[in-house]
Amino acid sequence: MLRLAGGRDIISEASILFNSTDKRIVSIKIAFKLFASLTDYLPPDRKGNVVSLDIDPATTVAELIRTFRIPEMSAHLVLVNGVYVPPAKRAQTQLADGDELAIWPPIAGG
Amino acid sequence: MAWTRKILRVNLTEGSCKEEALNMQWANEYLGSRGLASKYLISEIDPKVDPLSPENKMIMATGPLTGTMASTGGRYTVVTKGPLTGAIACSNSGGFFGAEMKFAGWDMIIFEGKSPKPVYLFIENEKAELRDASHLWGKSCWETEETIKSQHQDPQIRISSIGLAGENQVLYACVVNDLHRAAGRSGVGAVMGSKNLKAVAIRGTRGVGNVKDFPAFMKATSDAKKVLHDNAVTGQGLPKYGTQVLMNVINEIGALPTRNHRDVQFEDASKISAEAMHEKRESDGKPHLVTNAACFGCTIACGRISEIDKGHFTVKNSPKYWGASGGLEYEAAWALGAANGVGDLEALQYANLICNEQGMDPISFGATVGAAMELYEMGILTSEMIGIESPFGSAEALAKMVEMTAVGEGFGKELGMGSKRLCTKYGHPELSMSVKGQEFPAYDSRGIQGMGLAYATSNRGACHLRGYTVASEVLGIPVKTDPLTTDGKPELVKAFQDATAVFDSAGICVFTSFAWTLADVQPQIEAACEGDWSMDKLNEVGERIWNMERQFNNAAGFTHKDDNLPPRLTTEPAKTGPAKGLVNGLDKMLPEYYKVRGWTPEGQPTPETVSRLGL
Repeated sequence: MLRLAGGRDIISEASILFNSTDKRIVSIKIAFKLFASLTDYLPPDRKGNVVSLDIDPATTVAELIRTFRIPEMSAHLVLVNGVYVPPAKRAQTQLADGDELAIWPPIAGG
Repeated sequence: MAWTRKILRVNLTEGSCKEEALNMQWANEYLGSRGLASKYLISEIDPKVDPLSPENKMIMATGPLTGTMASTGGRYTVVTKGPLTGAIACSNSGGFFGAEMKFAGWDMIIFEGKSPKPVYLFIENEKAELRDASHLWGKSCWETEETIKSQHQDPQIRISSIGLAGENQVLYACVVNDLHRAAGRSGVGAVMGSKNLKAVAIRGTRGVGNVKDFPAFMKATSDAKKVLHDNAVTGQGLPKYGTQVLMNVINEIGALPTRNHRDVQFEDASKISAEAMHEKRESDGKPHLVTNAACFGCTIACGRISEIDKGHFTVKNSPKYWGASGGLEYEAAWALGAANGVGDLEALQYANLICNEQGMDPISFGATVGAAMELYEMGILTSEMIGIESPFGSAEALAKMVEMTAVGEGFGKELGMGSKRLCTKYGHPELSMSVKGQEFPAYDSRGIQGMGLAYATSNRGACHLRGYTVASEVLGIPVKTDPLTTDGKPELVKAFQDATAVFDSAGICVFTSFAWTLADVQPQIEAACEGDWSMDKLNEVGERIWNMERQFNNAAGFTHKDDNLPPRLTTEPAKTGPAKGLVNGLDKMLPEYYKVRGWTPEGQPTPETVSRLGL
């Protein structure tokens, strides 16, 4: 189970992930940020564009994208601590305690 | 031929308006708008002319696609020698004014001399005359537009005008059309003010009926619109979130210049972002953003229309600002916000409204405020000198400074000189975050290396719209490159610079390039314009325009030493984020860029390059 930091369940089907009270695996805490139209994939009572998550230390970027049901094509700009993670590396990129994962759909401006 | 083949030459000294034939050989070599108007300007003025003297000229120009069915085909350009930089100035605007100029039958208006008294130019199709503007002098852009429309009893007249900033020759004054669109950068409004030209008012009813191959043009424009519609950026992202969607991204990657570039990340970025504009305010339960908006012929509609919080300290006693109006766009939100450490969205919109009302470039204004706040924090400027305590982050100081600068009162006169002159006056020229005297836009080149080269070599001083490598380095358009490396950036910068010159000269918006490549633009130009307009030719035209602008700047006295960045960006490493520890690697990129351009190590186009491009 994936939990918001503080213990409230938000997604129950992700068997790869464990909550912070599960004694088998010590969880890590990350900041998960979704922007622009992806904001809708965050819990409805979110504050701003960020939620704090307790996750399994082995969790990859790709797993988290799937868990939140973000369409693959919409996860265009994926940054871990501000550094771009290309699509080919998302399945191998594991998150570490204190990481910030931020995702945008295709966007531009000027 | 989508050109009307007609130029209007307005001699303000004599008070005359004369029709001339467009030089079609030049149109064939420089396309229109930015390229063609620059060719005319450079051919007619001394490059060393004082920008604010009667000997300087100012040209308003459309492109061959302006006023046509091409998506975003509403652009026009103001070209002159810029007072902020002393370099060529070329500022581009949307709205509806450009298309109206075309509908009236004019490709271009050349203003020369100086009127002995304030005037405005009134055009009704082929009729053009200068009229007394003594009743308009001293009025804002908004009042000027309303007064002219009321006076002529015609709400469909389209108007470009200057406000008090242009009259007072604030060196970054802009020319505002349709209330909140502007030829914004490099001080083109100050040149207009120096000529005692208050406004240009146009009513055109002729349409654009001279497209070369109309069926082919309809197909080409229709195909291209589908590309914009189907693209996630131009079809969905920009209409909903506007350019402001960049605020959080650029902050996240550590390239959001903050507090006069002391920092590269702003702790309050999320409070002034596109997402924040969608949120309901605690004060009145309404979101800041009211709707999006489109310029003439645009199928993207990235513009923001917002409503300020009526209870905010800046406007609670000023109902004229309570209605829905233009802004905030990303560049203005950054310059008025992060650049000064101000995280109050309503205060930023207030400053933005004043910039629109009185005709000031919010980028250069905001960046100059950032420099003033740094001088204040260093103890060089005091609250007595400025008129208010001015630490970084003070929304009150921002509001006071925009009011003072717009009307030219007190310390506002000094802010109106721009950051280079301000910082030099107070003994710290290195604190001006500018290139060739023009302030940086919203990307820190320590976190986006290619932009350092784009800024240093931009022909109109620091600018993001001359070579927007952010698209590739950050946003992955058309391909993702690494923003933290200098490798490959000289070639990337040149490619963006040359292609952008074509988009600008065609009369379309450069934002189409988030979905279109030149291959999408080429069939539209080919169908509209007589002559051969192959991809090879368009690439050559873009390169020719870039080199022509460069030659003008060289003749005006600029050298390779001016292709530089402030020492803060090349010696003070970024403190946080992915670029932590990095400075901009301009010294690695610039020599390679000169080679790629076919220039000498001193930044001069070689004789071979000049010959190849027919310059």
